[in-house]
Order: sequence, then C-alpha cells, then structure tokens
Amino acid sequence: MRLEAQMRMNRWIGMALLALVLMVGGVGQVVADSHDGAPSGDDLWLEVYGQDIEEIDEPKDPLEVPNRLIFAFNRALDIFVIRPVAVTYDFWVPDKVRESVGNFLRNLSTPMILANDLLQGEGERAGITASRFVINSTAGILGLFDVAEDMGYPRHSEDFGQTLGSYGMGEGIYVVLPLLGPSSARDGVGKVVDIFLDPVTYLAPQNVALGRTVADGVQLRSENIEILDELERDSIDFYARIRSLYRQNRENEIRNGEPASDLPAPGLTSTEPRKQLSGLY
Amino acid sequence: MSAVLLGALVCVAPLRGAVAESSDGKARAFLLSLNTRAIEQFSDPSADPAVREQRFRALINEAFDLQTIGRFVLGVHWREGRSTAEERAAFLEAFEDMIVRRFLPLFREYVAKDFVVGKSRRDRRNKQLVFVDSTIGRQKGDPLNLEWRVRERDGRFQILDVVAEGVSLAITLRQEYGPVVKRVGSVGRLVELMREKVGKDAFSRKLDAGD
Repeated sequence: MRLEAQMRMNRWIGMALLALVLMVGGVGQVVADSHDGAPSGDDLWLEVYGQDIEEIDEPKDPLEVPNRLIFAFNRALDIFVIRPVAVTYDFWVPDKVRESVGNFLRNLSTPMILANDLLQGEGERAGITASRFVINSTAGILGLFDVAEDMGYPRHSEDFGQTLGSYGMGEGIYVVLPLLGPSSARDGVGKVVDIFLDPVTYLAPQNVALGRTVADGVQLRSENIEILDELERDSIDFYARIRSLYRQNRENEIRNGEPASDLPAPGLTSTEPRKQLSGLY
Repeated sequence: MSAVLLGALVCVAPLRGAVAESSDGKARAFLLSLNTRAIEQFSDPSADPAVREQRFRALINEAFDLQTIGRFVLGVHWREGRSTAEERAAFLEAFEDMIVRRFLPLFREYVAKDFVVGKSRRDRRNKQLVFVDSTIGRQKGDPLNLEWRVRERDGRFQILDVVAEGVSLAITLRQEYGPVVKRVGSVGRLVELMREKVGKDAFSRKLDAGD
C-alpha cells in the first residue's frame, strides 16, 4: 500500500534527521564544555545571579546569517498574511468559540503529550494527561470544553524536544525555521518525531492533518497578538530578543518550571539529566 | 534529664528556623509593600501625567538597583576601553527611561490587586540574594508566574531582576543589547537607538490612554 511505503520513507528520513541532530547536538555540547565555564567579561554574575549560572553569556548562533534572513522572511509573511488572518479571526469569532477551537485542537495533541510524559518518566503528569484526554473527549464533548481543568487536572505541554532535553541533550545550534519560527537542532527534530507520535497522522488523510496545522497556527497567533506586538515594539534587535526569549523559555519548559538551583559549581550548564529513567514512578 | 535536653532542642530548633524565615519574610514584605504603594499611586486620579511619571520614576529607582542591572545588561561593554564614562552615564539614563516607560504601561494591564507573593528561597552561593515567587492576575488568561530576584544589603532590599515564566528581564536585555553594541560599534550608538525608541513613544503609548 502506498501509505505504508510513504510511512516507511518518513520513518527513515526521521531517523536520519535524528542521527544528524544527535551529532550536531553532541558537537554543541563539546563546544559548551570546552568553554571555561566562567562567563566572560564581568564579575556581576555572582552578584546578580548567584549560583543560578547557565552557559548563556554569548549566545552561540553559528547560523546567524541565514537565520536572520529566514527570520525576516517569516516576519514579512506574518505581517502580510498570518497576522491579518489571526486579527480577522480574533475580531469576528466570539471569545467562547475561539476558546472551544483552542480546546479542541489542544485535546487532539493530548496523546502526543502523554507519550512524552511517559518517555520522561513523569508518572504523575502522565496520569493527569491521560485523565484530561478521557474527560475532555467525553464530558467535554470531543474536547470542545476543557472540563478536566476545572476538575483539578491542569493542562501542561510536552514535546519530544523537551523529552530529549530532559535526557540531557543540549539544544545544539539555534535555527530559525521557515514559517515555524525559532527552534534548535534538537527541537527541530523533536517536531518531526512528534508527528510520528501523533495519532492524527495515521488516522486522518493528509489534508486534514495540514488543515489542522494551519488552524493551530492561526489559533496560536490570535492568542498572542498583543504580546508579540509589544515585544517587537520596544526591541532594538527583534531577532536577538526572540532568540533570547526562545532559549530561556525552552529551558524553563524542559525543567517544567523548576528552578535550576542544584548546580554544584559555576559554569555548568543545566543539561544534566533531570532524572534517571529507572526512577520511573 | 533526656527530657530536658529534648526540651532544649525543641526550643532552639524553631528559633533557628525563625531567624532564616524572618529574613525571607522581610523580602516578601518588601514586595508586598511596593505593590501597595504602586496601587496607591495609580489610583490617585488627581495628579497630571508628568507628575505621576515623576513619582513612579522615584519609586522605580528606589525599588530597583538600576545601576547594577544596567551594568549587568551592558556586560563586557561596561569596561574601560570599551566605552567612555560619558557613554556609560548616558546608557544608565536611557536605561532608566526605558524601564520606567516599560513598566508604567504594564501596571495598567495587570490587576495589581491580584498580586500574590509565594515562597522564597536564598541563593546558595550569594547569601544576599533572595528569590521570591509570585503570581499576578491578568485580565485575559491564566495568572502570570513571576520570580523576583531581590538583594538584601544592610537590611535594605532592592530588586535585581524579574523572571516571568522562566524568562529573565536582565538576561533578555543583556542578550539583546550585547550583539547590538557589537554591530553598531559603540555604546554611544546604542544609547541613540534606545532614545529613538523611547522618543517614539514606543512604551508610553498607554500612559495617556484610560484613567
């Protein structure tokens, strides 16, 4: 069957990408380690940051030139196409309906989140995710209503990029993807793997999956119109700002909001594995 | 005899705990009182915008150690040889402008009455640093998690950084302005760009909107 052959090819591509990124990530890690660890230039780190020191003094961005080009392209696309659609959607569609659309789309991603929870050995979070899926799909009418949240099962997001991060994989180099925006070598591959972890990929025809991705994009954009406008308005170098925000946010997501306060010595990055897989539950 | 010793231990232990607690309790109290003062300033409808900005500026200067934050943001460019004394002074001035104008509108967005201060902890290496968790209510969406990095010196507290959902204001600005200085060549030029931004009412657009 053509579908099987297609899926097999996708799998090989995915694995090749994974291998590539593991190599790049590995190189990135070596580069990070060979830096002497102490942030260069000033001695204010200890005063301002205490021991919450991470390897963030000079953001490594070897692909800066192509990244800036793609960033500019994405911005143009956003100004002329995406943002207007999101603003229109925001303007015409009532709050409650948009909320339901958001809930529905998020519910569809729940199996992928569950898979990543399990891969990270987060038993409790996996339980919450599983409950959310069942409750919202039934009592929440196919996910339109986030009933589970009110019942004490708050949502959280996970993806394979975070899973890799929790295993201790460094983010590798910073990459701006066309249309998809900021990412890293590790997270880019994470996105590919998540496609495989998502049942919608297998259950629905290709057009549906594409339509859903577009809907995801518009929904997300409409939820963030003001905050992105503000970020852009007062930044002198929007590209550098987004890069910084992206990386800090990713670190925070990987740690699930926990403070990085257990570093034994300055200069160590926070890429030590958060847990041993043997301590699963 | 052992009962007496046990009794003594029981008396000492909470005392030690109390000492640690009270320092961090002070940090939390500091933040709460700042919030109260900010609310008071904003709910005073009489003062004209210029006076309000002056008052707010004074509050910001008192609450934040802008000198240290500014130096941290400029990072390696603060050194002799990389910038002149005039450039550094100009930067600190523009930086203050930026922070005042940036924070002023934000106070209108966020419902300051929903400011809840949570746990606090000390940094292990620098005992002067206290990290205080808080959440602040928003008009749309979930409450925002903010972590305040506060430094205690001679019993006085000042904020060194604000971290919103894992994103630090100081680090973000440092990572943005560092490459800019490299690209435009000097701190002086950076200051010009900052002034342009402030001058363009980039931040103060909300100042006159609403009450």
